[in-house]
Amino acid sequence: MIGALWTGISGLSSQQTALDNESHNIANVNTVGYKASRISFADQMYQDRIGKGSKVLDAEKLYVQGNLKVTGVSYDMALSGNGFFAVSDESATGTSETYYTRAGNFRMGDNGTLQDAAGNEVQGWAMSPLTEDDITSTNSNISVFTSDYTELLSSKVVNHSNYVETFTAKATDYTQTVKADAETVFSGYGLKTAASKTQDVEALISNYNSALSDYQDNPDGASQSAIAQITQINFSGNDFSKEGDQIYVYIDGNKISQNYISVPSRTADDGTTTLSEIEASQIETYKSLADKISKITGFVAYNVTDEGTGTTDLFESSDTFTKSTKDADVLRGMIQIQSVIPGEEFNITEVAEVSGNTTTFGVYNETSSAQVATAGYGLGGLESARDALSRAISGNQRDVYSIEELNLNGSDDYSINFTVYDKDLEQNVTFGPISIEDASSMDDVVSAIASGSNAALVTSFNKYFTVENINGALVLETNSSNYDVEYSTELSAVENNYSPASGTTVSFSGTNAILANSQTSFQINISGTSGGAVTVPTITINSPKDLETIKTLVNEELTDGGYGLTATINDGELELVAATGGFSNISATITKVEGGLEKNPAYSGNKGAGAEFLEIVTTLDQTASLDSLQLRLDTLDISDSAFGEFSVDSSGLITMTQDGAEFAIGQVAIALFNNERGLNPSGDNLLAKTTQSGEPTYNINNDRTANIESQTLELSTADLSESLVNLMVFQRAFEANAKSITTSDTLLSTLINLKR
Amino acid sequence: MIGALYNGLSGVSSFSKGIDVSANNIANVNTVGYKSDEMSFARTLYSANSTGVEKTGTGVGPMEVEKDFSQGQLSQSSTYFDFAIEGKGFFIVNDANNDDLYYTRAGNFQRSLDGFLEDKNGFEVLGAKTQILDTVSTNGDTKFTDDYIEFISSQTVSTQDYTLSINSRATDYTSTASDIGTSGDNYKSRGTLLSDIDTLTTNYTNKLSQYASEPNTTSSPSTNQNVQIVFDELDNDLSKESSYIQVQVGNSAYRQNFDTDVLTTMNMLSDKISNIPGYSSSFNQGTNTLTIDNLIPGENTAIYVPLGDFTAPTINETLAEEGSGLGLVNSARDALKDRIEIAGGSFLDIQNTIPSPNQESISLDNLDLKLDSLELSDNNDAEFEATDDGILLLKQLGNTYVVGRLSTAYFADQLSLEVNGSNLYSETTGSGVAKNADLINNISTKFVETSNAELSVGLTEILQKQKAFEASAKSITTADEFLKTALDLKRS
Repeated sequence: MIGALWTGISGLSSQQTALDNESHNIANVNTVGYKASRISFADQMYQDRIGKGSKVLDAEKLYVQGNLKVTGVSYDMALSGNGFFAVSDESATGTSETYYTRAGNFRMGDNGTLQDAAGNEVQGWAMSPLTEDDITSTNSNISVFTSDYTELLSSKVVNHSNYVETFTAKATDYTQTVKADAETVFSGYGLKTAASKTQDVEALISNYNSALSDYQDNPDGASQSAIAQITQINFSGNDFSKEGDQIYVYIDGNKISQNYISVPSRTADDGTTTLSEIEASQIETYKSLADKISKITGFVAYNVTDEGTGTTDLFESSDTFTKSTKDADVLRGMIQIQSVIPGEEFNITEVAEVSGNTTTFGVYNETSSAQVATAGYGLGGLESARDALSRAISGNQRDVYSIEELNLNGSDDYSINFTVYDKDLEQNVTFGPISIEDASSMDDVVSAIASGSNAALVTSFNKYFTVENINGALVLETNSSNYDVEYSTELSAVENNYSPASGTTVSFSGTNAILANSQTSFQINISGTSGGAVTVPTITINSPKDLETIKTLVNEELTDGGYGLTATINDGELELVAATGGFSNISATITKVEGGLEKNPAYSGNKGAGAEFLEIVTTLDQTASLDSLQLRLDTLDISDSAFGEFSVDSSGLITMTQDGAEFAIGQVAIALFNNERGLNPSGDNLLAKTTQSGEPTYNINNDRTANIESQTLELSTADLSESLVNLMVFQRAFEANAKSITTSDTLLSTLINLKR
Repeated sequence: MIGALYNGLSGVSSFSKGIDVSANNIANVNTVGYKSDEMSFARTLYSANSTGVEKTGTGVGPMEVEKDFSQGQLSQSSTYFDFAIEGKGFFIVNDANNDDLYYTRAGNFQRSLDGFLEDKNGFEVLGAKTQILDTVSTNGDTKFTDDYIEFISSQTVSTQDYTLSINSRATDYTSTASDIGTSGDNYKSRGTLLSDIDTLTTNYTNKLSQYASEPNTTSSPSTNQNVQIVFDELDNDLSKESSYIQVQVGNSAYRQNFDTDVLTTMNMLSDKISNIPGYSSSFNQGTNTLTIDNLIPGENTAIYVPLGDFTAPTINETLAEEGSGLGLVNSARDALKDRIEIAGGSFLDIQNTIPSPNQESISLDNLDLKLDSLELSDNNDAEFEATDDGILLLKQLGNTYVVGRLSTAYFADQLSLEVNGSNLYSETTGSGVAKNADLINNISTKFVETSNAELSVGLTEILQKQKAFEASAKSITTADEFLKTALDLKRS
């Protein structure tokens, strides 16, 4: 009798719990990522086969996929499949607890991290902090992208087995900085026009992009550096001697030809040999052909000589080749053709000189002394492509001093100081002065600088620089490994006195010859006898642009003083001539005032386009421990501008796109639980792990977990129609159980009434 | 007259128990798998009079409270952990604490903390567990690891004896592959080697589908086609620039013009043929024999030497024979494994089975849902699914593994089962022993069986029994009044 009463109460209680649960589902019908829960009932124990009612075994969340709704909001993410986002609620005290959620309505917090709506930081694999090795910059002061870097060269995300790299390269506007090489100085020595430099850069950009694509396709494959092809050609010069004759070479099926350039006979650059008209013309023609080849996109050509054991003018495997613009070397007719693009092969099929109907074939180097192209692949190939591109965009700084600035009379002295950025020490180093004494030719200057007597200075110099006499000009250039550093040179003239023998005529010639240029100043002291000892007051001449100026200025002073002396120019030398019967026994000293010489601004410049190249490689280690995901590009040291366009792919990889460059900056981690049913719902869309749920597991690239749908939210799995029907079912069941109780009660009162 | 009093009393007692039963049914209208209780009332005893003709009842008693095991309705749910039995039988669960077996119709299961299938009471659900049938491995690995990044194939086959899942994966052979062999000796460029692997992967997948569609054919392995072409007069045939040798493979002719010398020329021809995906070729100068192997087991191609400006060779051909059943699959698998290994990769193929339902005894294994302890993968992160016949699957990275099958049991007299509450029943002497019910019911996945107790029935019954109770009570008061009347007789 009492049994049914309690049975009814157990039913009331079960159905009440179910009603509570269902109401909760209905309340959360619009809660993002909410999982509806359900009640599992079971029957109670039986006594004599009579059951004692029902009970609630379990209220469990059903982790089934909710419907997805595209929101268009960049930061919204939805999980399609198994798993949970992990979020961490770092409190002010620094302690943090990780919660799990299906709600992907995220945003960027004020500290730049990805956060959920309540401000908890979303956990994932964060980008590793950038190190020096990740940055390739031709400007030592700049390691982040700035607004100056206007040219996007490439930007690609490379997925490795357990890490993700982003390669992004940008350059400053090289079309603005590019400058043609001076033809006077660099003819026959890799002379590039501004247009061909720009085209080389563009060809190398596309080469870099394809190397990056290859690497992207096979990121963990084998690696090999690319090597650029270098092939030499040689003209005999025997049958090519008059106007209308021609030399040509076929490169990749294209004929590059140069007609005979007729120039008059002249003295060779050694100062002694006389070049015949034909020789001088051939030299001119060979240089022009080299310059023509250098104009072609992707090629650069030099006049060279073959050295090493063996016969000259014959290609042998033992040959080594030296670039040279010296008359005697150029006359050999050997031109070295180099590909600017590493790994790209070119074919030379024919080398010949044509005179009338006679064609005399030249040769091209097919021996092992030519450098064959080696195609690069993998990381090595990419690095080769990057290096070539970076060199073409920036290029070695070249300071040029031409013969107009230097007085090479065998007695003038100079000193030169250097300030150069040292990449290892990460600071500027200064060394010098290197003295150049009694130089009588440009070659003397070169050897004084590169192999002078002060061993310490020579070592320092060769560490950073090379120096060459190119077409008679002094060219100082950073060496290959320092192509991207900047430097300054200070070339100073050392004080020098010119005191030719005295007499009625004094001639400043030979070792006393003076060179007037707009950078040197002179003091002239003249004394002599003219009815007693006479001393002309010191004449100071600042920066005369030529001897004519000196002559005019000196004459002005002499005429004003009425000394009967005249300055004249005889055969390019300054002479002081006394008027007949006037000044006699002239003794004159010209003092060159110590002072700095400026490099030739028209000739100096960069070998490449003179712009800056910057490549940043970001790495995201997917085996690292989880961390909050920083989204600001400035905090990440990638760019000086904070924001980009946020996007996330199906594996949770977050990329920020800024000015077309894409950076993989983090990956959202998706947690899996062995027993997700054991998670403890703790409100705010969050679930906490328990001993029942076990520890979360994470998969590299989230490859065993849900896909992430971007700009989408997962809707609640609470279903109104189902919940409302359930409400009715539970309500009716509740009422029926109440009926059991009232019935029992009625029965009891009936029983009580038995006894009147 | 006193008898009527007791008759009424037995009625009151019986009907109050009846109300208990109905109340219990009402309380369990939402209990999954609940079977409603029914009470059958019968006259308790009949006292015969001396003639033996007329009998008088002595009231009613609860003869029996019986479960009504009729089928409950199936209600669709959203999780693969929900199962419902259509027809006779029970799921079998085990209380691991004391190894007591229970039977239940409530199929709303879950995964336990330690990765086994369990019911809502936390009792292990029992069934047939999986066994590894065959593992073929390059490097001794017996389960898939993160190194096996290339998906090769996954196939489930149901034979008369077992359900078999065959899964294969490989390590990243594209990054290890390189040119192999030397000229004239089974040379393969990296590209062709990768094409070979693609071709053999497709072949393996096709053979798996073929096996799945004809699962019960006898097993026999396939053999490979091998053609040996002996050129006896090579020194004469290949002597000048314009001379050549030509071989036809399938629809394409492969012709090699004389180059340098006989060996170089024949090696070049051999390399050309080797470079066809799915073939390999070598040349032996000692015997002047060009050997062509078709790498695909069971496949024959027309390989012959068309007439040309050279001496017709002798051709020795061994034709391939296509196998059948599991042997066919294994031959295709081994050919693929061989190529992947040549490319420097590791191949792993695991065949695992669960017995088919037609077993004599009931399978009473607990059902592990962890790929790691099942020796299938070292990573437990997998998606759980189940098929409509109660076969449990785990899916990971494109592979589907069969990991178990739910067992069901039935009893000769299920009405005699002991009812334990918590949706559980247990065996009694009366019920007889549990027997395999796998072939006499259907298991529906993503469904639960709802309670077969209905409110309308429960409420009607409770009303009827209340009235009957009141009537019985009335018979007591009436009898009481009769007695009182009888007592009053004396006074009057």
